[in-house]
Amino acid sequence: MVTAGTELRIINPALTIDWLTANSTGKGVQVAVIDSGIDASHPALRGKVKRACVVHDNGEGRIVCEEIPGEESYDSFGHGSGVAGIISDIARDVELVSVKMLGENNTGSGAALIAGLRWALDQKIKLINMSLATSKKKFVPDLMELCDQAYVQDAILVVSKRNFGDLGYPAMFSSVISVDAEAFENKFGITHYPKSMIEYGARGENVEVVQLNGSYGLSSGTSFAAPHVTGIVALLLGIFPEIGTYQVKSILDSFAGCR
Amino acid sequence: MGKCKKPKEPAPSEILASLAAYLSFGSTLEDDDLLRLSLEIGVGMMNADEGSLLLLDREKEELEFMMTLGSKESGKELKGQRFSIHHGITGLAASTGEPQTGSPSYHGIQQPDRAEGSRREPTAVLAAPMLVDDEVVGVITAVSFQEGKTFSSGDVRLYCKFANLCGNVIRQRLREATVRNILLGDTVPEGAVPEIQRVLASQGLAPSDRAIAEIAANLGQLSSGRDDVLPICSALVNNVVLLAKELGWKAKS
Repeated sequence: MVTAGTELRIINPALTIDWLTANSTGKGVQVAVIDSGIDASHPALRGKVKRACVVHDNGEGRIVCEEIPGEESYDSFGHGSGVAGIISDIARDVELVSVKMLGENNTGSGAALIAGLRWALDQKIKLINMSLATSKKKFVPDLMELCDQAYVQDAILVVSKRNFGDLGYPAMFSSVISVDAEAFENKFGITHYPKSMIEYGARGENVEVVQLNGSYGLSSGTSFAAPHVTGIVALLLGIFPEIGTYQVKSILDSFAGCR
Repeated sequence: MGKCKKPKEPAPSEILASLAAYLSFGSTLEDDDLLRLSLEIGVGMMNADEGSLLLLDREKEELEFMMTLGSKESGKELKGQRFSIHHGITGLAASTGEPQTGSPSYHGIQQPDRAEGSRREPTAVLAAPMLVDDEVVGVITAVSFQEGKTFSSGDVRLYCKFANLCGNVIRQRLREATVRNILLGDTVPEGAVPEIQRVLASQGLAPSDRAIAEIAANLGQLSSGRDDVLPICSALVNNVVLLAKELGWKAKS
């Protein structure tokens, strides 16, 4: 029986970040990055982008996601490459899947975000990073349905909150792992906010990121905090491929506080 | 043939309310001055060297430099220039509606010799979107050339507030343009500011109402930036309304 003051420990105390990094590289884990694309030719990402899809308006008013070979994956802004670089820095053997929904004509909208997420879920990709959010309520029903679908099919969505203003969707949904930016030095640092809609904090200030044309830079923001958590989840999935969002959240809670 | 139902005319009180609202739109400061002042304070608080304000052309998916602060040379070079929103930190801020910050590229993460010592290479850039009714209308930027400078999350949040302020000034300008469009064209433009739609969208204006509204609109324009003239304009509008009532508006309503 659990009584007041009793600490529930359902996680093996031996499962620590140190143990995880020593025993997993994220091998065999596919991670979709719904963003501005991934520059597959960047030295830090070469050979890591296994699949790619570009969301665009098909000219008949329909927003579709069209698959292209992974090695031809490209990035308009460098944002998605920055995100992908963080994930593969933490989990070096992950297989990246680029879902490019920013940087094409008529994209960047909530509709494109939904189309990209739908495609990733249809492909049964287990882990999805969305360093994007919308504040427009008209997209909420579709987005919520897809996030619920992800939860049910055991796909894990790691999303960033907005940097300013409201928290944004899908970060406000309980079916996702939502992340805020913290000024950690440690790339494995995690904070747990148990009574907040945004449940976790991770490194998001002055992060070294991959940029276009084979270069690197420093960036800050929630967009770069989410992939730190995604990388850690990829390490977990490398060892426990069957776990879902609920179990992952429990494990992340047990990691929280390590800075 | 059935008799067409005459559209319901707005009640005089509605017209007066909208006129009063219109006159109160008249700012005592020119929009450009207010935007420049906001940008100057924002850039100063960011301890940045340069700043700019860019407006979004949604149809062409381009941003245009409208205002620049800092170096006179770069200001001259940049003003009026356009570029695609599909590139760079500023484009990303316009595309996502989210503030973006970062440093320019360097070519080895172990040797971050970015900027290569050149004064003209920025060391940090911050771009905050200006939002009107949740739609991006432009972006303000802050740029630093100081060695080792980065913008923190706190900086980003603060600069976003300045972007909001600039967005509200632009929103005001859009409201005025919407009212003018309605007065002149008797139609509600697509994407008109919601509260204006609510006040004026449902019915067409009667000729007498339109005449009064146009007088008010012109007076509003005349009094913009002229604190001293505003009371005279207000009094003039009241006189016009009284006169209109005397001439039959009362009977019609």
